[in-house]
Amino acid sequence: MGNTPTKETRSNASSFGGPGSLSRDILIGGTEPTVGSAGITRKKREKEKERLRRKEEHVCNLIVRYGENVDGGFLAPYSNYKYTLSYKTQVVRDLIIERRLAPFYTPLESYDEDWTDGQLLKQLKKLSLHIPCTSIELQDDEEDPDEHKIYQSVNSLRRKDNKLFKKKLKIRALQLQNEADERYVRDKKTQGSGIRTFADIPSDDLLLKLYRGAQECPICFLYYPKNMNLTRCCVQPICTECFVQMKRLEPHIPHDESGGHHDDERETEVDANPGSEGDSDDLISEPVKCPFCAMPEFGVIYSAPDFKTGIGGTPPSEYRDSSKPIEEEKDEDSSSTKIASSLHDSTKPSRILSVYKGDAQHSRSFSSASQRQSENGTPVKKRRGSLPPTAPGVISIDDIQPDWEQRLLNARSKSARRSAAATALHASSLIVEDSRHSNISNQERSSSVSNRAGDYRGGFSKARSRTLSRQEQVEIEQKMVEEALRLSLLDEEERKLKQKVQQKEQERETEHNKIQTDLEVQRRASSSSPR
Amino acid sequence: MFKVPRNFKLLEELEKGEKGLGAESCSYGLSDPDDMTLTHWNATILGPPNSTHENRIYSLTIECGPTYPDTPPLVKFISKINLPCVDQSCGRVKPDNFPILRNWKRSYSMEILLLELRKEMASSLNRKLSQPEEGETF
Amino acid sequence: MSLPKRIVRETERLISDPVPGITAVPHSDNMRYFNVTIEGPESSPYENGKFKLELFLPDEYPMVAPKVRFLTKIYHPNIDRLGRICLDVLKNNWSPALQIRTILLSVQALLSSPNPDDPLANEVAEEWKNDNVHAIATAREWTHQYAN
Repeated sequence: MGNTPTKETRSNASSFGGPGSLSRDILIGGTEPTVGSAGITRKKREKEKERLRRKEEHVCNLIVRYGENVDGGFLAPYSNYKYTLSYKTQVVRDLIIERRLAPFYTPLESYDEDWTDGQLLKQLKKLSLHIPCTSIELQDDEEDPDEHKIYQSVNSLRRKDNKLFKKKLKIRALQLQNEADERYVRDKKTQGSGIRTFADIPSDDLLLKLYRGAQECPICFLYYPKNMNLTRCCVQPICTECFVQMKRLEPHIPHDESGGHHDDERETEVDANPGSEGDSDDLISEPVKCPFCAMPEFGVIYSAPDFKTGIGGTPPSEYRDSSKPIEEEKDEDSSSTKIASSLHDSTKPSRILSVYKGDAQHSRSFSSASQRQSENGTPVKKRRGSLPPTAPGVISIDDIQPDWEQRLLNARSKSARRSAAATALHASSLIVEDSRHSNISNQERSSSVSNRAGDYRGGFSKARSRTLSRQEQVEIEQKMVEEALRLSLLDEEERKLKQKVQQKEQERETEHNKIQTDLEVQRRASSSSPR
Repeated sequence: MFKVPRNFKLLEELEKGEKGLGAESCSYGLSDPDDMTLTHWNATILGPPNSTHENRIYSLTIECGPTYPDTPPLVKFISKINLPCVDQSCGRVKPDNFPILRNWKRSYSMEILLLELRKEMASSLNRKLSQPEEGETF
Repeated sequence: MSLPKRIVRETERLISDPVPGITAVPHSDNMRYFNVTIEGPESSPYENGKFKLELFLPDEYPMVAPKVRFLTKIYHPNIDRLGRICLDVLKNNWSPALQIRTILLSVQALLSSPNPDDPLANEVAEEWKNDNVHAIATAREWTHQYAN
């Protein structure tokens, strides 16, 4: 990695740590939300800082930089999908570098097997690193009803701050992406004019090798190099961008086909689990099923191509397809590139190569790149039959979206809080009503007008129109005590699960640091590279 | 950005109202459960504490026309209320006197509208206003 | 903002190679919003009826299901009074490999084989189970009355 061949690019790059760095830098300095500073302990503040740092890292990791490439693809998505991505970017970057998941290749909108090499190259050279985006798309349409309440809760203020922070982050990310795109275009242009070459601009051979015979992803209908991820169960291709979009459904009640089960008679229906409606313990989260064959525990396997370029391989500009006769390059664009690159080759070929050989030694299990290249040709044999989810090499959605446990936990405690609040509200309104006995006839009148609307909630209006017996009051008090007990049990459960999640997080961190170290070594090696 | 069409936005709002996922202090639902056009709604607001509205429940009707949510809905109080933004002759909420209607945004909703009305009741200017007998209607 | 390739392609195919008995045409001002018609399947109480529906592809499509609703009144145990449909592939069993076309076919199939054991409209489901003949007659009547 770190094929930063020019001083110019490098100094430019320093604004975001260089295309080779794994973007640890802070995007926005000193804009962290300042929520209710009173009463927040130091520890909490530290935690908040860490959370923001992670968010920044996530956004940084989603920027496509052409310097960060693996076998002709990238470490961040082209962003065919526009909404917020939740997958663990660091995990996916590592998987791509280890060749265990297909890199994010830039997709082709269309592909025709009859295109000549020249035509195909022309299409490929038009591609940008990232889908063009404008600031219009940054408009946040979500409105938080809590901001319209009389008293804003600390939570809603926090959300508001968060929203602002996210927006700033998005704008900054957009700028960085545009810069990265501009650099790519500029370097390609410079190279095209024959002034000099850039190690990370792929050779025509590499482009053709990858995109000849491009395959359509059955989810996004875009065309990708044929070395796609294959589902472990039914051996269907799926591009990495679609793969990282997939995630578990929000926690839900088992066998709940609802979403609209709210007819008036609903309550009389016998529930499988009577009296448990909305009970937080009922919420479950299931592993993602295969989109094609609905097999549970969806996972993919990736077979890398028989060459290695970019991180852990030779510079993509150096790639030559030895099976291809040379005189094929008749296209204008490619011929000028060829002249340029041969010019470059003649000046410093050996040193660059040696640097890359050095890289290969540092990276794990990479055989000498030149040797791999000469092997050439015969693609890896296609697997038939399905593999178990535990088979080596299978990457599951939970591997890249491990926060489902946290989400389940949050949903459970939220639902518990909600039902507790509802119980309390219900109970208190009953008690209050009792003490205001004389008012009731009036209340009844006004609430009967609103009855229809109120009915949808089963809320306060109904509760108000009746008095309570002593017996009922006792029952309510008991209910509230039970609810409090249940909540404290839930807290305990939450604490345990949190511990588990943290532990996993740590393990992942350790794994990641290992890879980081590898990369750092490579980067240092290459920063001494000539230009 | 592609807009969520009127009907699907209203269905979302309906679902939120039905499931009771919104704020506790107000509620809303279709006036006629068979109204496939999703136009006529009933709503209630629980009067805010520390005001002359405390413990009152106000009923309203909301009409979401064919251009909702590009244009604001028509809002009318059924329960009598003394508020500057409410037309005292018919209970209609006057857009000119009520910023959320005057500067209506597509991302607003009936819930936000109701919460803002409640906020209006609690504002320092309005919370001490003398109110008509409880239970009277426009 | 441009439309994702997938939506463009699906729309093209829906028009160039339509599903028999189904039409889906996007609104000119919102290409994610479709006017849909489904013909009632033969030998079902909905036969000869032409049902209007609306379909919307949310931002997250195809990672989440399209939203679909009947605009024509219909008497069916899995379709409620507002036209909302209870169909597993529109909810938890959605898969991004499914398409507008397959979803509309599923809706059409639901008309052929109602499932009163998993109802959305309870009174209809009760009727369907307790007095099937009468329920089917009502469905036929409604089809005649509203779905022309």
